[in-house]
Amino acid sequence: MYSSMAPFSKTTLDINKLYVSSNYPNKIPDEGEAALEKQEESLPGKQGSEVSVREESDTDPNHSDEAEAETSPTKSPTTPKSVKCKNSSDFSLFSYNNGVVMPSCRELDSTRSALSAASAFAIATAGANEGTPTKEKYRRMSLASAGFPTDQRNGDKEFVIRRAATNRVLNVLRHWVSKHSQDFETNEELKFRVIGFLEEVIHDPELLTQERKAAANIIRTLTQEDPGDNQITLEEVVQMAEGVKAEPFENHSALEIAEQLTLLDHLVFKKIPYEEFFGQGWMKLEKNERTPYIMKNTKHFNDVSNLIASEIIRNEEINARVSAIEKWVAVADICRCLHNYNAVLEITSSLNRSAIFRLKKTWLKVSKQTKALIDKLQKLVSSEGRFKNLREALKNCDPPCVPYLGMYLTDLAFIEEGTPNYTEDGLVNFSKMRMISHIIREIRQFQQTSYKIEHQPKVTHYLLDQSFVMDEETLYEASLRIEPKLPS
Amino acid sequence: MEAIWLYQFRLIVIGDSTVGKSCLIRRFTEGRFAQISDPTVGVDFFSRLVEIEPGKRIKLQIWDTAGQERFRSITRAYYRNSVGGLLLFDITNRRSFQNVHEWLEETKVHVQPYQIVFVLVGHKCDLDTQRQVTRHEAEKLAAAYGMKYIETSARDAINVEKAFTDLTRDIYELVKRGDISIQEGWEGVKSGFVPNVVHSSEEVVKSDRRCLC
Repeated sequence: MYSSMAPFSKTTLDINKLYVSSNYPNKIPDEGEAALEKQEESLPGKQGSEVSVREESDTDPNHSDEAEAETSPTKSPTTPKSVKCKNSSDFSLFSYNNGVVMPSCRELDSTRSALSAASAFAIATAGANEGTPTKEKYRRMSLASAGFPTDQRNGDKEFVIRRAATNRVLNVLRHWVSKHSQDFETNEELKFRVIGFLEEVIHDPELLTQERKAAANIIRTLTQEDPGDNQITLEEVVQMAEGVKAEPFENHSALEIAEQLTLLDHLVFKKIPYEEFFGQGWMKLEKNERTPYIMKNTKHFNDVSNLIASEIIRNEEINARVSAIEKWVAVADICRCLHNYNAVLEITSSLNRSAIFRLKKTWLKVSKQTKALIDKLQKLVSSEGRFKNLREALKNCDPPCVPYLGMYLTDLAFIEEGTPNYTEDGLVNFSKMRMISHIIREIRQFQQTSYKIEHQPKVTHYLLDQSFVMDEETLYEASLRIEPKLPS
Repeated sequence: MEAIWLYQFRLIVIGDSTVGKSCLIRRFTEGRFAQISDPTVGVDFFSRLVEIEPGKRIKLQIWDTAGQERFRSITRAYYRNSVGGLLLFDITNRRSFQNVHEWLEETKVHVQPYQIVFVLVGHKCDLDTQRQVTRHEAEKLAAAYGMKYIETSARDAINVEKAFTDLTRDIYELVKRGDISIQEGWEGVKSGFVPNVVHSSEEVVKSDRRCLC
């Protein structure tokens, strides 16, 4: 029996595909799906509950691509589509035959009155709670559709639905727990309730071995001690830096500065929870309450930018300013190699500030090579063509990486303001939601891979030290003092 | 004349956060980009050609820094690399009018060593019944800073074209007179020609000057 089902067992049960295929009966890729699709069609109360899913599938030709990307967020966005195959262990929670073949091995008690919360939920999600067709009716439906030899056709429809539903619920939970662990780290109650729910599921005597294993796996993921990467936290860096004596710019090599700046930038960047990207909270009056981590990110950017400008301006002597500029440009170029595009912008935008940009005498002494390098770096992070070059670089880079957050914030602002939440027919505007999720997913990909850079407190202390940093006005005044305006 | 555009001007639109900057830009450029598509595609959404005289086109690049306002050193670079700007306030929001002064001060420092031509725009003029700023006082303020004043509505498409084209004409005049010139490393004005033809093209422009009223 198993050997006859072999082709089916390769087909993983992908709920989304199920509904897509029910809409496109002529495009069914294989027999397995065809059989299931017919069953789906015959489900009572099915159609109405799936409208939204179908809406999405209808309008999105890239649907399966996105689903794939969803399952492999640790991969770089640059990974060619063809390489991005589904990880079989990721998807094969249940193979197709669990739902179709196994019924013959089991008896299902359809008269059970006291369903456990877990299985009631499972059945409810599958839309089978609307009306209670008789066992005979189920049997007829599956007889008509399954296409198995008569003696194997005692498959009970409710059983099939329950397998599919359990599968779906477990898949949702597995995805949630593995891809959005933040939610559970910050919400103990949610964590314990999910564990409680899964424990109840496990104790359901009707559960298949594979389902039980899958549920246990989710619980294991949830209860794992320190799911993190043992990375140093921003708080630790700040704390350690406090205990060290600040050393001046000259005492650190460009490489050390680039590495430690990258470590800092990424620590600040990765802390932003994805909820902060919804609804443009960072542009609202209550931005500090709604999007504290985006605010910390921009503050960090501005602080570093001010530090760089101050480091240049504080030198009364022209040659010292020139060498400060050249060293920061060297830092920027190393940051580019480290895929820290955020720092490339921190540095190039600092050099572009009026206080620095206007220093004609200083710029005359800056070497040609440095100027050419600045040009190259500026082109890379230019906002031209909606950050065309930066997007290209991000697409082609493997994490770890620190992207420039401002680019994503502009994208989100553009989408939020340029497109309605609902279509003219009053349906959720899925293409808008998909664009938003696409951007957030890209951000998360870059957040998830940390740098393996050893923390050097003496350097981070320098980078975090704001004691000599000047504000905008002071910078400009100092700039006028060291190179007075020429009478024009 | 074979060139698609004579010059490229880079403009900024500034003002308080709720005055409708993005709507105004979108209304102006929407002819070309009616459909909002994926913003991550590398297209300059906010650029448009403006014909200031028959056959003479200027490419406008309008910078919308929406979402990036907090990245101060970046938005300041935007200021400095612009030749013109629309300074918006909302005629139904007195506070946004009072902040016009602040916006001018803020930009003044950051456009150094270049200059920027501003037009003061009283936006949302379709909401005349909720008006909190009179046309007279806005005109007075604009005059005090040497700006023109215009009232617009993105919703009813009032004066949107005019606001941008008037500003473009004014800048064009300054460029023609040599008050504003193309400079290496400055994005504000760019020529649509290869450098050695710039001169001849400007002469063509000058000979046509009588057409301007």
